[in-house]
Amino acid sequence: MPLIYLYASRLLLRAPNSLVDGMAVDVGLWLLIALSLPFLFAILAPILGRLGPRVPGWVGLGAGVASFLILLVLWGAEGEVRVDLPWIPSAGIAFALRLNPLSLLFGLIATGMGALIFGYSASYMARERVAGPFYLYMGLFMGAMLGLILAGDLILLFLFWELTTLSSFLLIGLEKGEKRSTDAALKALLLTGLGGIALLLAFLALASVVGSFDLELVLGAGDQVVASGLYVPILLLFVVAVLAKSAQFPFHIWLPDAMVAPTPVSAYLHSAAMVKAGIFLLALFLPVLVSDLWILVLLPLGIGTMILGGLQAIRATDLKRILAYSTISQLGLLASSFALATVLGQGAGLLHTLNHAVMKGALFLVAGAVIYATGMNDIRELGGLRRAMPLTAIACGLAALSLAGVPPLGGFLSKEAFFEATWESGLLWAPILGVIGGGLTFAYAWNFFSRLFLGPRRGGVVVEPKALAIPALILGALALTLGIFPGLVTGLISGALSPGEVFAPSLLQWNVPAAIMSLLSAFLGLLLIWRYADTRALLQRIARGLRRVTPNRAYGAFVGGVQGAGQRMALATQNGSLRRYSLVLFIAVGAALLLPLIPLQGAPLLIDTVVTLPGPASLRTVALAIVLVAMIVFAVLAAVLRTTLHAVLSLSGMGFLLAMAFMLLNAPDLAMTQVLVELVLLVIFLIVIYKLPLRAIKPSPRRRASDLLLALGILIGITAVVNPSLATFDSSVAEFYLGPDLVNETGGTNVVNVIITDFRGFDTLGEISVIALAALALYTLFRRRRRG
Amino acid sequence: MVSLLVLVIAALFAIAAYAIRHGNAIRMVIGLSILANAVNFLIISVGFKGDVAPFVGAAGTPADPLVQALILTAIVIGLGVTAFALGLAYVLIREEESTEVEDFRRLKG
Repeated sequence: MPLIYLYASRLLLRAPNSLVDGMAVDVGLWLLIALSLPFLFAILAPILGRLGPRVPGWVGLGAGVASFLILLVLWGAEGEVRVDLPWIPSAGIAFALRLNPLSLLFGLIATGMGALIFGYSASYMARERVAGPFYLYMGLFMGAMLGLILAGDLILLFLFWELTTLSSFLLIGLEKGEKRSTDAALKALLLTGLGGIALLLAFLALASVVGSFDLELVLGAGDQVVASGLYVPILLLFVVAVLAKSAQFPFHIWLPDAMVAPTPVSAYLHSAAMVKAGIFLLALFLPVLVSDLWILVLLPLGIGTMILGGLQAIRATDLKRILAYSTISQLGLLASSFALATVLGQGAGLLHTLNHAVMKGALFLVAGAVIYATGMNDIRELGGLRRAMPLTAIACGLAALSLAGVPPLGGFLSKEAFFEATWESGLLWAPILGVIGGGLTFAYAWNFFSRLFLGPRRGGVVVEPKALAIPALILGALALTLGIFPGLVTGLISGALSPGEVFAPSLLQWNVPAAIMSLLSAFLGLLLIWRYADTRALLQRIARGLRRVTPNRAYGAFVGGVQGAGQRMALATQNGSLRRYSLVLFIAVGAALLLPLIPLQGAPLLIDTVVTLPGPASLRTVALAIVLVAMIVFAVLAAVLRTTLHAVLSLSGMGFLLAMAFMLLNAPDLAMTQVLVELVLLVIFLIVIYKLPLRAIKPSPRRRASDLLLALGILIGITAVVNPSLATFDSSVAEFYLGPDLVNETGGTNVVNVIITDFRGFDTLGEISVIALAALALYTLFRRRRRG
Repeated sequence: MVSLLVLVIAALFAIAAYAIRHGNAIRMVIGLSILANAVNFLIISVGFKGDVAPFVGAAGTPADPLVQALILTAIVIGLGVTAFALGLAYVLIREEESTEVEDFRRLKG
């Protein structure tokens, strides 16, 4: 982020110019500081790790809290804050940041959760050997996420978006050399990377419609975008980006595999923050892209993912995979909320984004604490931990009840609002499927808590890791607080809606259809809990039956197919045979040269076989003809003589004859250079031959006929290409150098020398670089050999 | 009508290709060197005109100086390429104990 510091210093220098500007600049600087703190931490993290295993975690906590407080205080003191710095003005791209209710809400989630997770990591990661890169990538992610949220320019937003993908990839693949880990990282990168490409295309199309990369202009151009011919492709690309990032069907398959990453990564990136980036985009771009098509595409996918994730969460037995499927399901709920495109839907989506970050973060921290304490991660082998881990049990209970949507916890309010929004939509299937999704959530959330902490004791003797329980407990308490005092955040959420709209759910206001839906889903949940083991067995049977048609299967077939095709292509083209390479090369170059000639515009070919001397016949041209014929003879000898020494001497002879030809073609400089180069080359060749044990060249009779045929083809082809172009060459460019002013300007009379030194100096620099590089490469080559 | 220059250029290219197609490593380097010469000769032929070297104040029509300047650079680069290829061939021949590129096991994946 040296960029930011560069801009910051530029801002400070500019500040005194105008007092009013100066005030605004100070405020903007604070926003830049909030954004750069995580990056600063990322850079320092490897050094901090040397001071002690827990130090980076504590400093990360400090950085997160500081960013969190700066955002909060800035909002409290200034309201909306804008930073506009020129970045690439020629392309209309600015380094623009915006602090508004929407970006504040997501920014507080990103920094607040980040701070807690860093505090948790201080203990959790203390005994891990990958702690160094862990903190670096986590800091990088926190900054990228904050940047993506605050960005006020499409290109800037896209860059931060890609940076979150990249840091997620690095964090999933932390355990280098572990196949599970690298496979999962690759899967996440390919799928979310695909989303990234889709997003870039969507943004470029958006900018081409609106005529600007400025986010505010784009957000204000809704009618223009929807009416344009590019609307459908924009929407579809945008939806692909959102689905891939926020793990929605059919791109959800990367998220369960990503659970191989350490638990803090799962809690932060893969439940609270990164997977919410897609949801953030939905919230952000809703005003621009909303139409009937928006609902038609997003709502079935969102609700479908909600139910699919819920079923998978019941089927799963690994603690973290249960939570991963639950996250997929809850992200489906969030996507559906925004898909409805109503005020209530958006409000429910924003509130549930916060609630979900809190409760799912807490559940992941609980899962991490349990795995840390017991060393086990199969829910069937664990149980009755309430006495051994009382604080963790309380945190888990609060978070699980919030997830299940039980009053008075936060999850209840946002789920009720979601139910009400589906009811309002007027579609019959939306509330029905919503209730089913809610019932599934109720069942697995309760099972997660009761199985781990209630009932008979299973698993070994454990000691509760207090440092891991406390962050979880903080989040659990927050889930309760958000349920009782929703007013803490609903003001902010209302601010993020259309102007004048208010979203204020409360435990005291009951909406009858939503309450009935809640009761129905709780009833369904209890039914599932009663026959939980049977349900899981049934789901496992269904999954086995469907194993041939899953998205995972398609992904595996695609990746396997690409790798197989790549291997086959490499084996076919890179088979280690230099003869094969040269054949391919000659044929390709030949085709490239001959193709433009196909419509022969009466160009003279070999039909007229009268060979003419260049220029009018004179002593000089006759001498030239003799030299050229001799040169060909030497070239043939170099290509066919059996003794290496003879072949090399023939090559040298050809070179010296070329120098003579240069002389006769009025190029004395070339002749001199050619002689010098030829001498050097001869010496090098002779040294190599002297050092080589094998000096005779074996004949290769089998191939000779085909090689001759190829050579003949090249002879004809080159003649056909060169002959017309030689006749029509336009040498008027050279007139510039032959003008009378040359001597006055350069002080030289040898035009070729003047071109080399005065006009084309960079060519000479490049030429020297090539020689230096060749020397360096040879030096490395021989030194490696000597070491053996 | 086909100029002698064109035939010489085409012949040089053909000979270079034939030498490169030969399986001997040193012969391939020789072929590369011939190819470099062929290209240089092609460029100078393109600018073939006039009857004196391009000096300011020379009596007569000067030859095209631009192509000459281009070739001047190309000759030296050709030397670098040939020298590097030769070094590569030398190391491979010593390590593989054969001059035939088809025997070079290390090139095969």
